[in-house]
Amino acid sequence: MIKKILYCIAFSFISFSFLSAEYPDKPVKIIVHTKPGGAVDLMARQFAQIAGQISDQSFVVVNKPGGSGLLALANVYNEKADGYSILAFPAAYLAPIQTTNIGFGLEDFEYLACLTISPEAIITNRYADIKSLDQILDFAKAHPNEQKWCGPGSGSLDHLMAVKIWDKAGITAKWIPYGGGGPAIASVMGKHNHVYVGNPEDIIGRKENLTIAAIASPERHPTFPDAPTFKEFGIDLTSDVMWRGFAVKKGTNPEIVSYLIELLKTVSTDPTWKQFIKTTGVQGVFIQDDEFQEMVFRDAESSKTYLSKAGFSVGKEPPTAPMPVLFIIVTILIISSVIFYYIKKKGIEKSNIPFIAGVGLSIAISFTYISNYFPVPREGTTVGAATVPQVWALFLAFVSLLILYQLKTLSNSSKPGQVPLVLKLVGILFGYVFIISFIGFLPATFFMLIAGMMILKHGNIKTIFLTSAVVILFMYGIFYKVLQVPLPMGMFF
Amino acid sequence: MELFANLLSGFSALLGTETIPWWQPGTVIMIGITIGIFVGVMPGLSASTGLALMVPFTFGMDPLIAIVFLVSIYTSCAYGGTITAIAINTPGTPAAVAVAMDGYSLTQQGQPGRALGTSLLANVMGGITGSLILIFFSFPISKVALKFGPPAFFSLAIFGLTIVASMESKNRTKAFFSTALGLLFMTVGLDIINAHPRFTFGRTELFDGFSFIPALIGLFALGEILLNIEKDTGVKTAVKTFSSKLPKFSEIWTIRKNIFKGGAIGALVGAIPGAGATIAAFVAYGEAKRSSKDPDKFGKGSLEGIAAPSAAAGASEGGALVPLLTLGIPGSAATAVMIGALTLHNITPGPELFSNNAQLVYALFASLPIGIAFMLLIGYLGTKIWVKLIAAPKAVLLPVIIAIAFVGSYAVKNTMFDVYVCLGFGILGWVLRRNGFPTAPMVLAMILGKMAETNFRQALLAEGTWTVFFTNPLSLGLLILAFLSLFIPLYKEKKMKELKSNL
Repeated sequence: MIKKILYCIAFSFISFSFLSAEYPDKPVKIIVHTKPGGAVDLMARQFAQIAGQISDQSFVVVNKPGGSGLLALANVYNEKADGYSILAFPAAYLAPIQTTNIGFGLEDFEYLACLTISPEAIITNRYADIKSLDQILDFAKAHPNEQKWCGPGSGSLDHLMAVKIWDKAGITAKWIPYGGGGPAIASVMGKHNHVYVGNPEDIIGRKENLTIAAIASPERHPTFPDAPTFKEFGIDLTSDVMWRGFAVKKGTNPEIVSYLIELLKTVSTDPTWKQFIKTTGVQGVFIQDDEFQEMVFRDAESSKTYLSKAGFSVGKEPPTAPMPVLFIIVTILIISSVIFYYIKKKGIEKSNIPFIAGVGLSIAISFTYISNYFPVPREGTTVGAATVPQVWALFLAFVSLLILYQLKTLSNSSKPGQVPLVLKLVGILFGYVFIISFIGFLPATFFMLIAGMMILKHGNIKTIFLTSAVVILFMYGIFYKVLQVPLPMGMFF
Repeated sequence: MELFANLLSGFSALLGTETIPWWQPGTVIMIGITIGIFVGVMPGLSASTGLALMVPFTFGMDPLIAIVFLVSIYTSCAYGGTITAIAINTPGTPAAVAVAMDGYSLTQQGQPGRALGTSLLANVMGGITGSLILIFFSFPISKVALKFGPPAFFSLAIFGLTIVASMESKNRTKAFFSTALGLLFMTVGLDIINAHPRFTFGRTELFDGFSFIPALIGLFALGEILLNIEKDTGVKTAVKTFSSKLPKFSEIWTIRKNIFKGGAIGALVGAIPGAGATIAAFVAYGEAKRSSKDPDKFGKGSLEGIAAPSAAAGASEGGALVPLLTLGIPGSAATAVMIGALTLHNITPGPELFSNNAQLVYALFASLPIGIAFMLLIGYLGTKIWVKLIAAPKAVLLPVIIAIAFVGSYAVKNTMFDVYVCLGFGILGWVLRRNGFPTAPMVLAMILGKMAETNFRQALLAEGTWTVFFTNPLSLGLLILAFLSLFIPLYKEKKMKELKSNL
């Protein structure tokens, strides 16, 4: 018996090493932190296409947007270190990972290679009064803290670059964050802001409107030879680049790591890849593991410095309201019981509407309470993170009170129907989303469909099973196979 | 006249060139339209996702063919979204929410064919209006679009919000309650100016706020299903037969003004980057109701209420191509994907495109009317299928819609959290609706809330003073419009009441 077990163990070891030698023997996922269509996503898709041709296995891009990129990072961190989840790793990750307490850090990843870089640059409107770096500096010195600089996001790579430039050039200016690069560029084209911080390729196709005031690289850019460098103006900014590379979770088998690095190297010399790089305007490079890692940690240090200069708390959690959830529940309970007594005393017709208004009022109060702990507005501004939520909360409280005041005139036209049946279905749905992570999306959906049709009293069992099977097949075919949505597959598949 | 010569060369390019066989453009347009309608119909699949998934298929194509293919997908998505809005009260796109209000109501009366037909025709006419405006007025419109700075965007958002007042005249207080709730929900997530996490309760998933599409699917699809189950005995449906009868020509003729006004509003508002189809659809709906002789019918299956937002949604697609082509600025998530896709084909959108690659631009223009003609055909054939589908027994249909709603919610960001969001908003939608609280204002508030706050704070940060909202002419004009759209309905009603009490 013991022999048998040992034999089994030995065999499984052999088969395991056999498997890892055969890497990759199933599709490899490339996790991207943006929605489809972003610059990083396009790079990952182009890489996936070429890598798939080279290695016989398909490489599938999986978008995990959200949490300012941290969800994608967490996704790879929570997967096995087996080399089947590669993370597209742009410089944009540095700041969010430093300002949030997520339980892991940059040191938990193995950096494979960096494939593209692009120097940071400042871009101005060709027809504006302030367009050259000299003009920018003169205006900023004459009008401290009035010049408007913009770019995507707050605490982003470009924001920190702006802070760095102000620091090195000895000027002060305002940072106006936008939801993305596009709207920020549009704001400079429409002369709403003076300077856009981005990369030289941002002006491609818009050279009639925009001009590069300065580039943070040691020499002039080969594609944009007209654009001066910061160095030419005596400002020491020569190595600020936005890089995009790939990483895997730390602890991945070294053989797999070297396989992937080799693969990345082959892709980086592929003619299709080179054509793609040329079109996007960035520079194609191949910076291998140690060197790439060094670059990541060097830029992380710089990021930390300028994050604190920009007023962000690095490494420590911002203050939050104590026990927010409890506060909400208690508020709802108190207000509901007050309403309950009031209705009983006045003898108003029984209805749910006053309670809905009560919950609205409670949410308004709770949101005001929680937002009181938000950071105070920065110097020179009157409006902070708490202002707008509090205005909306005031609006909600006002409307809720108005509903309570008008109770008699608001008719409750609808009569309650089959509420127990609805609650039964809601119960099934809760069970459904709960078991998805255990048995997978498709089996769970299959059971939900059957249970749902049964409680809605569809008589024909054959129809129920047939329809459910067809729906599952449709989902599997269209969503899983064609659209490559990575549905959770659970423990059985 | 150069324009016409260019257009002619664009059309001829679609009939084949040395490198493109004659059958290819037409085939590609038809496939693109079909995919687009499918993507629009599936809740959770947005135009941007659909486009991004199709980009790899275009790698081997001629750039012209690739663009025509992608544009066909893009333009037909809006129509796909209105189909489910009308058929099962599940708007496939946010803009379709405005169509759902009257469209679904007509379906409940047993006339889905009339609603779908009106929406299709209005969408097609809107699409034509939009493409004409795109062809002839791209550059002047793009100049106006650039004038929109933070103050003007803020005022536009406020104007959009005031439409709630005219949209819901019966339950105005309840509608404002939904609006306020939606506005507050939209403040969840990292605040754009300070990057401070607000109301996230320590969950990283909430950093970017509630995902909009899962919330929309929950509020409408799931909320509607739960309400349906509550009100229905499961055996007897209120309407036993659904008619696929299309609207009569005379009916369409009487709403022609709404269609053209909706089309014009759609093309203009759609051209403003960031504002997009949703505002256009709601503004068109509000305007149709304001100018209607029969405003009481709105919300109860008014053809005008279907036609105006459908036309606006159809036209806004053309409008959103204006900033894309003339400035290289994406006006929406979908156009952002288009820019990426074009880049892969060595084409960078922007002012230089018109001089460097004129034939391509005009072939794109020429493909719009052809695509619209195909859409009319496919949409017409599809109407009968849709009507058949919704006539399926509810006990089977409803769980299937739930399954598709959940898989759609998951597909938006590939995360289970969005499925929970969908379920949560579904229950919220049911509770609100069964007590007479409309949910469409919440959707509008969720879209405009973020826009209002971001631009409000950007404007204050940039200008440092509150007066900028009144000194900027565009902003002031929009604020006056907002004021009027808020108080005119109230004033009118008061007058009506006085008249009635005098009688």
